[in-house]
Amino acid sequence: MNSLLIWGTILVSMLGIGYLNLTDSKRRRSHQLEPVKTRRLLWPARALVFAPGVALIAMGHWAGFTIWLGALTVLGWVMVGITPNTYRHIRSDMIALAVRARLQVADYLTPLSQIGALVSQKVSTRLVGVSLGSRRLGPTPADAALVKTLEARVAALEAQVRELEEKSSVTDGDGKYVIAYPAAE
Amino acid sequence: MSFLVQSQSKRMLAVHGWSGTIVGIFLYICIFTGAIVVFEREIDIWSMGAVETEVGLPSRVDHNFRVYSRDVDPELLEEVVISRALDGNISYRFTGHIRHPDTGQITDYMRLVNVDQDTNEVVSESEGFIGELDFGRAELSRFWVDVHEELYIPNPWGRYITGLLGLFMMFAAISGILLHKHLIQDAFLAVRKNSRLLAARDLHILAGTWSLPFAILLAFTGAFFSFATTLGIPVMAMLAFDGDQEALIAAVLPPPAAVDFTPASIASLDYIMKDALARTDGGYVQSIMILNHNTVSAEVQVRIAAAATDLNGTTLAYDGVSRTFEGIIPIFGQEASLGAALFSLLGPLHFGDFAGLASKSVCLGLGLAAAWVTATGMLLWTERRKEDRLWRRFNNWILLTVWGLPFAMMVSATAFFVTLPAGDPGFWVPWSFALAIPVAVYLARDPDHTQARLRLANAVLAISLPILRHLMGGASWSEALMSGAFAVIVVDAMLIIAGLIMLRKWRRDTAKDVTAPAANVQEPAE
Repeated sequence: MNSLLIWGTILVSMLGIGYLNLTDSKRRRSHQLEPVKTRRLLWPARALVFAPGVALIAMGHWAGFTIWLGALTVLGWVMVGITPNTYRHIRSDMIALAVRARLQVADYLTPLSQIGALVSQKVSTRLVGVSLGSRRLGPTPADAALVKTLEARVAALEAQVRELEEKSSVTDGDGKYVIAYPAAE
Repeated sequence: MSFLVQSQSKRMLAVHGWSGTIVGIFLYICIFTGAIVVFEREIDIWSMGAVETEVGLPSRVDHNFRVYSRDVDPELLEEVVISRALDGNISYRFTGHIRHPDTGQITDYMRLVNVDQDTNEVVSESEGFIGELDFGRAELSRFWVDVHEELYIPNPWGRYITGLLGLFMMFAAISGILLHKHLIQDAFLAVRKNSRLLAARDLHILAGTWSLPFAILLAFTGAFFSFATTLGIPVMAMLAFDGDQEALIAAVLPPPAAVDFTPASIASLDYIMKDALARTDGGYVQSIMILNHNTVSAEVQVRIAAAATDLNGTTLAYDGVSRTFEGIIPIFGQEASLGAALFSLLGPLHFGDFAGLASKSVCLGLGLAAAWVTATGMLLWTERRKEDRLWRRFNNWILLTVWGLPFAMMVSATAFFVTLPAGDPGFWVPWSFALAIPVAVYLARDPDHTQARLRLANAVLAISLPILRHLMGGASWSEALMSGAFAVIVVDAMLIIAGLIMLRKWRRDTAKDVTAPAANVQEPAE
């Protein structure tokens, strides 16, 4: 709770410093950045920087106040010391790192996912078997009904094929069927 | 807004620059080592392979105290201190004031008993005059602290020099304020990277602006600690007490009460500890001191750690026989005062040890910022005069110091781990530091490559030190994590991160050397 309070106050003040840093017109000009179009909220930002320190003093939290002031000095220096160009470098490095990490993870995951799929298939089949109260893997009633339907369908199709063959074929002298193909146009 | 007219500004700048260049190298050594030894306790735990990180005394010490004090020479019962040693054992220090046979002076003679908290077995025992005893402190941090406090120069000269360096740092900070034309605006100064000279100037001003209040604070407290005992007491005694130092001490410290040696049994220390904790907001008992044990004049002083919101702990006094609470002992003087309150702030503000790793990390950052200001200030001064051969050579010396100091410190850490099995790191730590200097000088023989070479050497050492520590029997990360010894992981991680950053910088620098044309050098105003 105590640490949370201290780091919370530091975070609030850093937001203020971050705003002042980002909207500083001279700094933006030096780094060839577009000037800020909206009105700069100078005093609210300054209040945001110093209010947490005042609150810590009001609470009599002297240890917290000392840490807050020291951290503000160090982190403020680091934040301002880093140029927008370096921020851009860091961001592109982070993106490159993330992409590389993602590719490597994907490389690992592809064989892993295949193994995982196989395992899950086995496990699910096993679970179905177990849930049906059978230790042996075999066709379910639904499977049997499907097989019956398919067999009937195959039989109907075979009958159709036979009928067509009889219509488009003649027998030669030896009793062999010769299929007459439609003539090419 | 400048506080000075142009001619005064010029003169002030000359004094600021010249004095900074002359003492800057020593100041940098003092500041950089100071920033590192903020983590003295963590370095001790890291280097000694300790995994026990409990702080404060357990709630029951009374039984063991009675058992171990039974066989101690009565002369050594004058002052007994119970505290927790770095390795987690409970340490009992029995001290008496005995005439040293060699010097003929009354000196502290101590019997040291370390007891395992869980098994109540004696882990180690030793006896001797103070200065001859090993308190189990790691040689590594002791050496680095000596470099910071005395530049490893014999007393009192080392202290005089570091005290003067502190005063100089204060002067540099104050003259920096006076020279600043835009103190507030410069807090958001954009660092121009198109020239080394402009970049050095901007980096110096930026770091100087942000670290100004704490630079003055650290310089003042550091100078105070260097001068307080070596110069402060004799000078104060000379001015106010006709040179009588004993009269001065009697005026600022409570007079010793007459001791009645009539035997009397000491009250329960466990009860006194419990009562002291109930009277304060602190979290734990840091130490207990028993004065005149086994007499009717016995007194118990309990030191309670600082509460979460305070910078300082509290010392409570109890009658050792009747266990009556007698009051809070002021850190300085005979009763609570503004002077005592200000004096009590000096330690926490300088050492940054009042809120564990959080305050120490901030203190490390502030120290590194001050070291950065010193280094960039010196480099700015010499870069501007680089046409001159002498200044060019001095510029290389500065780079050698800036990068050579961490190199030598890490070489001494390497020597510590390598010689640890032979039990002789006390000898090799300072010697390896000294031997690292010619190696660093050799690496800096070509001014164009000084920074890159020393950076690479530092990176290699920083990355290999955690591995070496582990190979020489140090705790692994899993062991450290299981026992809550985060210091081991923190120090290892800091070294690895620093090593990787330096390695990356080195790669970028060497790539730039091969591809980039010479930078366009502009002449900035100083």
